[in-house]
Amino acid sequence: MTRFVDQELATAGTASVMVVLSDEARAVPDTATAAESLEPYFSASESSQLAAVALAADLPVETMRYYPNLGVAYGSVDRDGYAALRSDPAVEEVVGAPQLSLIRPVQRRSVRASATRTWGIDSLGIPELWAEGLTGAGVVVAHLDTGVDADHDTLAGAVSSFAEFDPLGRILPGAGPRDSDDHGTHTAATIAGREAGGKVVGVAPSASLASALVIEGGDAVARVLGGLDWSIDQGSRVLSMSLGFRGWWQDFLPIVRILRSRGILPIIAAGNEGPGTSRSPGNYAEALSIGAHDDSGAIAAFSSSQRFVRRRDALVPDVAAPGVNVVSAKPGGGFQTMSGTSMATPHVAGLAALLAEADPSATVTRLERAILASCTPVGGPVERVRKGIVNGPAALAALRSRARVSSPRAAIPSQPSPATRERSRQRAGAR
Amino acid sequence: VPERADPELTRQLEQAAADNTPVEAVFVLRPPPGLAAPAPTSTETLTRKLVDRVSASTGRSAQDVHVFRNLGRFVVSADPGFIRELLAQPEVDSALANRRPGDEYLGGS
Repeated sequence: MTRFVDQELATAGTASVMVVLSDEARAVPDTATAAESLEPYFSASESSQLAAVALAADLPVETMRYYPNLGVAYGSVDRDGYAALRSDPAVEEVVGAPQLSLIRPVQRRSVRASATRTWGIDSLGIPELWAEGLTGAGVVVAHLDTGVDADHDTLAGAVSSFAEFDPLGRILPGAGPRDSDDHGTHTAATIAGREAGGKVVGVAPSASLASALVIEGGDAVARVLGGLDWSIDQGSRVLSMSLGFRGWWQDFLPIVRILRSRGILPIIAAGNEGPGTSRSPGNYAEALSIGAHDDSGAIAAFSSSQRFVRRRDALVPDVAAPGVNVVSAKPGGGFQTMSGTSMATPHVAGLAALLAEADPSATVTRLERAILASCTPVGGPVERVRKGIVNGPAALAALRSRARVSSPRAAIPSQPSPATRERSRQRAGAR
Repeated sequence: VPERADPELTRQLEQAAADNTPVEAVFVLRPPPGLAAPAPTSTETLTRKLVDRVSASTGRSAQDVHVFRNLGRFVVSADPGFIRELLAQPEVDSALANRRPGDEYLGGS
């Protein structure tokens, strides 16, 4: 971990660190006193995560945050502070810290939406599906993010249900739709933004959103579990989730399997840390993992990709979708561009909603296979995406092709439901 | 602590043991054979039964319990002794710490 601290110091001048107090320091009744003695070593860098969170909430900037139950302090240090911390007897260890809160998209700026449609919608060929009358009507997409500004012009009527979760995964009573950041409003409108002022940013402009506020402030496992549990009760067919742990973290693997068994296609961002990296749960074989490409069809440099030692879906992400300079809604009104696999993920979730409308009986696996089958391979010396770039009309054709093959069976009254078939498939161990 | 606790939960339990401060843990119920999770009603019933059983055996109660009925999981905030006793129940498959150090659950990739 110190290697990462050294790298961050070399490139940025400061680094985020976690400081583990020594056994002696933790043995005193009031460990906060020992932690406070370390405060002068930390920097009040305006670029630190603590500062970013405080400034966003209009709160005083902390230089350090202490977690008494853990005996760990968190903050930003420069070279001198880092050296001082490592030599302090109250300190057992100084390690690099994961970023504290939401990973920002790699780029964002406010814009005036000049085109009637976004480049991402055109790139996916979505207007061809709209021309066939497919707009996502009747399909619920679960959206787990920072919340949503449901009053934005493009989202009027799009949010069919909303819930904000506390750190134990309980719904906050009476909490109305809101965005704790601006990330959730952007991703929500890419999925299901309605036409407003002659402009459309949503792939499935008649789909309904079940939007859960599960990140930013009080990040905890149970908070996300609460959102996922709730999304099942909302009748969701698709999950759009642009969050994840860095690296491999297997604890959500059974959850993703449960979602599939309940008829929800989990569409999850791969991450923004470039080649050789990925995030969980987006890197599970059981997730439809999403990378980002630009308007020339090139995989974005930031888009995560990683090969795993496993028989199925060894390369992450599965597919790539528009994720660079994506125009979508900004809380409070107007539009902004963002770049990230977070932006690519809702494009695919919107497409999945259109496919689910085209064939309401389609199983999770059929929806997924149609999207995978639609892809145009991406060449290049470095493998960056398993199947390639998603195409909407090709996905619809693939879905219909498979539907024609299976339609006589679907007419048999005793045929198991899609959910039952999915459970049987999972019991058999197939993807 | 049984091996079914993740290392972070084990660490938090050891840390909290000295002053008996509450720990938050997410418990995974042992799924029926061939299924990813118990049925929603079973999850609710079993959670209530487990918490009642541990309350009776320890003489303590949980501060908070919340059931994820569709996921075969529940989260408990309780003192370390209560959490350890829950971990020892045969219906529990595994458990993990709800709060991760450094708030490592990140969004917006």
